[in-house]
Amino acid sequence: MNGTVGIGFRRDLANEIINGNINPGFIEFAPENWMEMGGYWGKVRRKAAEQYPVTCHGLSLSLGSPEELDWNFIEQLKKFLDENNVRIYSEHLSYTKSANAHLYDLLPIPFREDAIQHVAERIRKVQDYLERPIAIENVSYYTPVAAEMDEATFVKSILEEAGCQLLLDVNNVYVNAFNHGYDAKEFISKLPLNKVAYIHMAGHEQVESDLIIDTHSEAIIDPVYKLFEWTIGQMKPVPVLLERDFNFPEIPEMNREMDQLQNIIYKHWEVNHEAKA
Amino acid sequence: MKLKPETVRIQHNFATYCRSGISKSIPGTRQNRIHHYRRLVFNVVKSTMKQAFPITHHLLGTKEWDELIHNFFEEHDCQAPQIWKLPYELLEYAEEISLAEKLNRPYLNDLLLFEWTEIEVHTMPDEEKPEFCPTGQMLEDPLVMNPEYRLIRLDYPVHIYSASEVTAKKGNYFVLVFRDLESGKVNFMNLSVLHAYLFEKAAIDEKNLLESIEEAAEIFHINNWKQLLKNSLKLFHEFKRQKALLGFKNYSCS
Ligand SMILES: [Fe+2]
Repeated sequence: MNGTVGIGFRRDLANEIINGNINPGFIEFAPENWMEMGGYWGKVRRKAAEQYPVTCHGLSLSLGSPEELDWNFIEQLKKFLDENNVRIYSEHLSYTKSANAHLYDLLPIPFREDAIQHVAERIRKVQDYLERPIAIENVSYYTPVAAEMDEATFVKSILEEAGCQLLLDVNNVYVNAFNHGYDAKEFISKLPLNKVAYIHMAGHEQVESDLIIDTHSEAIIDPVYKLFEWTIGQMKPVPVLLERDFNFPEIPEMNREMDQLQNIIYKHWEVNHEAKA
Repeated sequence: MKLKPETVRIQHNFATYCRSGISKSIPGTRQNRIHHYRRLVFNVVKSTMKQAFPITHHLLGTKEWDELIHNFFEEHDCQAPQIWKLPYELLEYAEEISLAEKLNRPYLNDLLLFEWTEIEVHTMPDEEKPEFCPTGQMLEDPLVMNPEYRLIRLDYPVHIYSASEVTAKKGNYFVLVFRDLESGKVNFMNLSVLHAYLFEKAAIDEKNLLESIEEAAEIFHINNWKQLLKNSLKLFHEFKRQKALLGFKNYSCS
């Protein structure tokens, strides 16, 4: 999969991906949206997993919660990862559950020393149980919360303490750099790029003059392509995934975005132009 | 736990704000930013619920609906890690708070149940596909029913009548909701009490139809045997046509 471009497997795109109108190097499931689901969508998921290499990007593990880990959920998750021959499993560096309630969105963890220890311990526990490494994604955030350090230090410390991998979302770096006024390249330079399991790319929406929201509802913008190009110049080949969740464009437009990513990859990484998977 | 109580409190306060809009002091945040989190959280929950309950949403109108979703999300601790299962929790919540009475819409719980059951049947895990013969004796052979179904009972026939008519039709209604094993499409059949009884006898007890009809005649005090037999056969042929009945356990077939 290294050096190939994959796509987030969404219901709106499912048929186009299965019939090959979109032909990614790999696909990514949000396991929560597919596990324990039979019927029509169960069939679609099985078909897609037979056709393409699969990565998974979790939503509800809530690594940053003060809550206990939900072991029933993790047991189901493990089953899903095994059944679908999942190559890489990733989750967000955020929390979605608090005071025994799910919120279904990515809340920002305070960048604090005790949070590093807490989250790293949870990552280690889950990795042990799943018997596979987790790639942790740097998330977009719109306000710091009681921070004692900067984001790069926080992310880097978690990776070191937990011994996990990084899912580097280049768009999220761009969004955060814009929203919080830091330098995106400097941020990326501080991260251990040898720990990157794969890269996310996506579009976003600017809602105020000084605020971007990470919506995955627009095309990737040029500055994010540029940041991507600079980033992959610093590191060895990994898989690259295009995330699109809303406001889906026509198929040729999706393919054009994936081609653009692939062409940048060809410029910087020595990858076989034929072998997609 | 390695988290300090202060960090725990900060995280809870942040989440509580997203759910309730009540802002306790959360140090080191940008006040003009945190409302986006509340907006984003509700976008996700609202769109999930609207998609799950299109009829209820339409019926209540934006104001009543938004109030319901806001109260639900604030008062109820959502348990499902998978958001597509969350609509079931709204149904439970509506029963808990007697929503139907509160809004003076007695059929509301039935409507929520009906809309949820369509989702449940569409998404529920696959059952092992039973072996069966496509042909057989309808009355004598044990029947193999489609295992992917839910049979629900309603006080109000929300599956037949519109909201303005349904309140006057209070009764005892059954709806068989089942999934076509090939296409995954969800189908509905309106059943009488007697028909629901016969379906369950076949699906659960694995009785043959003739035995079930005999039992039904006794239980429901039906004297017109000929008519009962004719109607029951008609029903089970319809089950077969719609693939709620898959076939027959007929050992000559294998
Ligand atoms: Fe991402």
